[in-house]
Amino acid sequence: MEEKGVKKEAAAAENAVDLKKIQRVRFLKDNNSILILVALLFVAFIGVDGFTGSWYNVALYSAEYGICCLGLALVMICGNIDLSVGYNAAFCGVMFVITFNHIYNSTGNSALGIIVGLIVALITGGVLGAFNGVIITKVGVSPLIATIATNYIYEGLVMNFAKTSFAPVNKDAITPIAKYQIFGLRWLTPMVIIFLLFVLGTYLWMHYTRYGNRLHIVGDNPEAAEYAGISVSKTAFTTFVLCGIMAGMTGFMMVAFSGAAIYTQGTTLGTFPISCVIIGGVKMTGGKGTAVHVLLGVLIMRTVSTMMSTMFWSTNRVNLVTGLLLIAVLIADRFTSTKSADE
Amino acid sequence: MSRGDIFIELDDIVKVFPGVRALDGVSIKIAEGKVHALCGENGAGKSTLIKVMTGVHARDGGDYRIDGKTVNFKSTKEAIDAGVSCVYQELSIAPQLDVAKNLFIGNLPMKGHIIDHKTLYEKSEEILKFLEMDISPHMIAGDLSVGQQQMIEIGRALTRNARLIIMDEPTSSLSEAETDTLFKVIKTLVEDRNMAIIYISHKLDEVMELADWITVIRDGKNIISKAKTDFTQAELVKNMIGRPLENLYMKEPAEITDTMLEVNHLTRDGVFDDISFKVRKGEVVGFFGLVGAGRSEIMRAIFGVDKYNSGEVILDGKKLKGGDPAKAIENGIGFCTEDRKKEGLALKISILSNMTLVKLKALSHGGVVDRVAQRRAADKYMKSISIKAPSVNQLVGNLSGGNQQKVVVAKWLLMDPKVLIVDEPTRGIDVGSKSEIYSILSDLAKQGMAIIVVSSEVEEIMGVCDKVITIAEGKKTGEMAITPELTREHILSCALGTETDFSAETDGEKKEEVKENG
Amino acid sequence: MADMKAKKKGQENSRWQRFIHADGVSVFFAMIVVAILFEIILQVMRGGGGGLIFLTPANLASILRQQLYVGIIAFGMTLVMITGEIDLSVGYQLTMLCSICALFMIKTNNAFVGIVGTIGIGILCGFVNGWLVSYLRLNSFITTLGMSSVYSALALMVSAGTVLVIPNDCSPAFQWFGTAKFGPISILIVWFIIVAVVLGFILSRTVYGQQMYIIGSNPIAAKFSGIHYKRNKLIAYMIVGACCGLAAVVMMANVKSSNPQSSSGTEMEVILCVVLGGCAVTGGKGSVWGTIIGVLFYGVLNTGFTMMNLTEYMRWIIMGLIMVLVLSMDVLQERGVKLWKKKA
Repeated sequence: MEEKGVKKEAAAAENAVDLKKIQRVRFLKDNNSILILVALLFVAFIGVDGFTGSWYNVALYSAEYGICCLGLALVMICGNIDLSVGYNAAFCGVMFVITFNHIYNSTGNSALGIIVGLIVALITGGVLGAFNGVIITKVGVSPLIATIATNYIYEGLVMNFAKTSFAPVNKDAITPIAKYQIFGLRWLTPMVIIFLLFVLGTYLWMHYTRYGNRLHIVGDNPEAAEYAGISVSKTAFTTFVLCGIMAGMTGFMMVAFSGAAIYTQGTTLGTFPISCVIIGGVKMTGGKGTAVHVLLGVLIMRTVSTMMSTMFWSTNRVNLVTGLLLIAVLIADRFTSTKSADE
Repeated sequence: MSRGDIFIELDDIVKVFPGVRALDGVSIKIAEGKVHALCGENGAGKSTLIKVMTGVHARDGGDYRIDGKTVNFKSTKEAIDAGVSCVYQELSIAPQLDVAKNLFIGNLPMKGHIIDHKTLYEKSEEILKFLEMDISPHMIAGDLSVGQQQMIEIGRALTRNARLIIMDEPTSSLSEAETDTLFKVIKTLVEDRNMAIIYISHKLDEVMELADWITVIRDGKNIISKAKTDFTQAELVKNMIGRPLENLYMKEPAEITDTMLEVNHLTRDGVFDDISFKVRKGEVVGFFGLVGAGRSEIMRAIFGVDKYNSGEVILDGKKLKGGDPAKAIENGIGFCTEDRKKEGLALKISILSNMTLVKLKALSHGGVVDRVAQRRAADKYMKSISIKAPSVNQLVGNLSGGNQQKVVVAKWLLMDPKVLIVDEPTRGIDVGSKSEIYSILSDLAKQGMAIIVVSSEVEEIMGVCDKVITIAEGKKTGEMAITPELTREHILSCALGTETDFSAETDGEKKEEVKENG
Repeated sequence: MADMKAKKKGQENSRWQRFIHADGVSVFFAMIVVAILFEIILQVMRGGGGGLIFLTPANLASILRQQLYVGIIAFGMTLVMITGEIDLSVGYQLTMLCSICALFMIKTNNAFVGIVGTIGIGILCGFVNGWLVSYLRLNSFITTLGMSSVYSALALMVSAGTVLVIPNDCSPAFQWFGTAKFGPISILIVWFIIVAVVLGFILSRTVYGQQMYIIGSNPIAAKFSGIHYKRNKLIAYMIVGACCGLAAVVMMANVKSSNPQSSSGTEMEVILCVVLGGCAVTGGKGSVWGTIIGVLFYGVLNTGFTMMNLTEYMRWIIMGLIMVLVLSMDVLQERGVKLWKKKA
């Protein structure tokens, strides 16, 4: 009898050690993106000539596209996906330029133009996002095929309105948002600050509000969410709208950064956000990831692309690497997933 | 309100599903501070009753009152708000969230509009301590054992200020130590917090230990409802089984000859343990056990869909390589699965394609299907086991349950198996189709096929089989010949693990070994 | 008496319904209606009186000719989509294979190398896609999207970013592949028909084809029936690769110049054709016959909108909307069936 008790205690102690170990392994597993980023930066600074002079580009380019990655992450945490985010952003950029030009030409007030243009861009993004949301959460079409179809529509919209390159009449009023160097620091521009604010806001929203907290549950186990009185379709719909709005913000940032709404930007954006989001630690199957993970993912991908451009790689090679990277990231996601995807 | 006061009443609850009266006038009264056990065989209507109580299903008749007021829950949320919480049999853990958030799912502590993380983790700690779980609330739920996850589900009910907690088979995945803790927890909840518990379990000793009051339901009706002290275990079993055996499905005798399938010491860690048996030509062997006892898992391992850790499967003198269903089929094992819609049929496809699926290679020349032969083969079985459909081109999704089941059976008959495994062949189908399926099985045995029938209905086993093997919690607890002397109570007791009986075991050596283990 | 009549009517009704519900039949009627609508709209737009505009034999023939390359790939895609997967990389696969084919012909001027090499590399692309999707169990949409950018990069690398032009005096055997004529029938149409017949035969008559439907409709049931679903999916992807290779060869033999920057959007055209032809994105449904109708329907729409003077981009928007509509109808119909079943 006594022996049994001792055994039990020993087992309990062993169990406790085991649990601690599990927790530690889990922490590393969930946050491996930070290790990847540190290692990557180390390699870049040591091994790539000229990176010390161009690393500020990592911050700028991250800020340019980062916000729509954040939106995509919200959708993916809920267990869906949005492949149309690139052309959604591109179209919002076009809408911004059209509105801005119209107001600037009639009033000459560029501040008013920027504000109204931005509002129009955000609303446009929200509406396009809601369109995705309705098809996917209300009708029930698979998010993958649905957003491929809407991507096609949004691409048509961009081309229809933008033809080639579409510059704002008074671009000097807009570009400082992306280019003005605060405290003379090349990496710190208003655009970077806006991006960080979005990251912070999203993080706080998901961590501190009841609605934001639902996302993980809905993505992780929709049935459990329904049993707990959480509407899965409503929550998923919200993420699509938010993703659209963030795509609108990205559209505005792209105009500010490059001084024009360039139609090819939708293509550039193609699979890039998905890579960022997954490499950062958000799971394809949903239920996992925070805004900080997205920030890390964007920084990783941007470090890679800045490294490549510093080494004067051609776009072909860059495309090749981005594609292969996406596949690699998918494979990694497949083998680290706690949930098995099928059977 | 004080201990023993009745606060929830269900009167004459009726719930009708297409073709079935799942609940046909069930009445229950729940008192505060008492454990109320609900007993019944599989399919007696317990799960439906819970779902009516928790707002998953709307009732079709009767009255449901809480504190004397009639309630009509439209969602589980409303039921939870009214104090009725349920721990479902299937886990509803969010595996990637931490323990605290799983405990307070949909019910996070707030400070204004902001989640109060401090309270969240403090309260979670408290609950974990109360449940005697030595884990941090920050742990990810998916990293815990199944038993620990089950305890978290129980903890979840505690966060909701529940007045009534329904537990559906809560101990099915708990270890012994965890079960002890759970019982302690239940007693504390009942005695100190004046909560009511509805406890559903197949394990009758648990019921006898915990319950204050026991209700037995059968075929959607409540049969008997009285204080535990007035029950004996034997009486409970008798009431659960109820009606006398109908000799509807008596098997016609078939000539039993050589051993066809031999399974030796088959083990899959944590699922089933050391299973050995033999099936001879012309013999129908029944596998009886409660849902979750591991019967289907054994069959899946034999067929090769699941892997096993040790043991061997010998078919017609040849050892089978595990883990490859294609090989098993090639060697002559057919497997009608339990869930025909999930595992058996492609609903969007025609009867013809579904039926000839495993036979396709034999019906083709060099990869090209001989459509005439395919059609002829399908037509033959359409007639011989009378599948009611306008033509073989009908989509399987448009057939009734019974006819769908016949398509599955036909699919395996077409390949002319040496051994046919049928898992729950009559679940959810009407009486007419049932007896037709029984006569098909009987005919096949007469033709010399070796057949294994997995079932959770005692009548079915007694009617169709020559021999029954009982499985309880992954272990073989009995092997007996079906004789007129064999009683249902005896089979059920073996399946519950309270008795063992290896009277019909053919291998003497084996018998001793198991007894030693037992 | 009245009963019998009713019964007879019921039977006729069901026969009619069966006909309507057969693969592609309703789409075929829809196509005819749309073609007539285009005729009416064009008559109104152009003031009428000048005889038929849309429904002329010449116009209909040109509709068919335009769709041949897309059609060949669409037949392969039908196989993949029946298993419930997708291949979004066909657009850039085609671009890359065109460049490779052109390169082969410029470098060797050997018809055998040009044809077999290109189709072989196409099969290799399909193998890579299929292996990633079926053996590593990656999501087919995103994987093939990623492979898409790999192929586009390879296309640019192979051709050094320039348009490759095959000289006009290249191997006649190679030219025959794209320009031969059998009486009034161009070899392009012959290819289209050959691929349709071969893949149609594989799908409807072979063991492999019938297993594909089960894999798409219920992969678990396929597993329980001992079907090698991974291998079968891989083969489907390789068939798509071969189709892309064939399309590239035929296109190069005909056009003789490859533009490594083009072909974005081909995958959308292909998928739209297949979906219009009644193939379910969720798998288990569809046929080559349906896809033929889908290809023609797409051709009618495309030509109709072009003749209405819509810009290319306007057409994209409308096509996208049509795709969303078709997908939604598919889902709603499936749901509707379920609702109806519950009541019964």
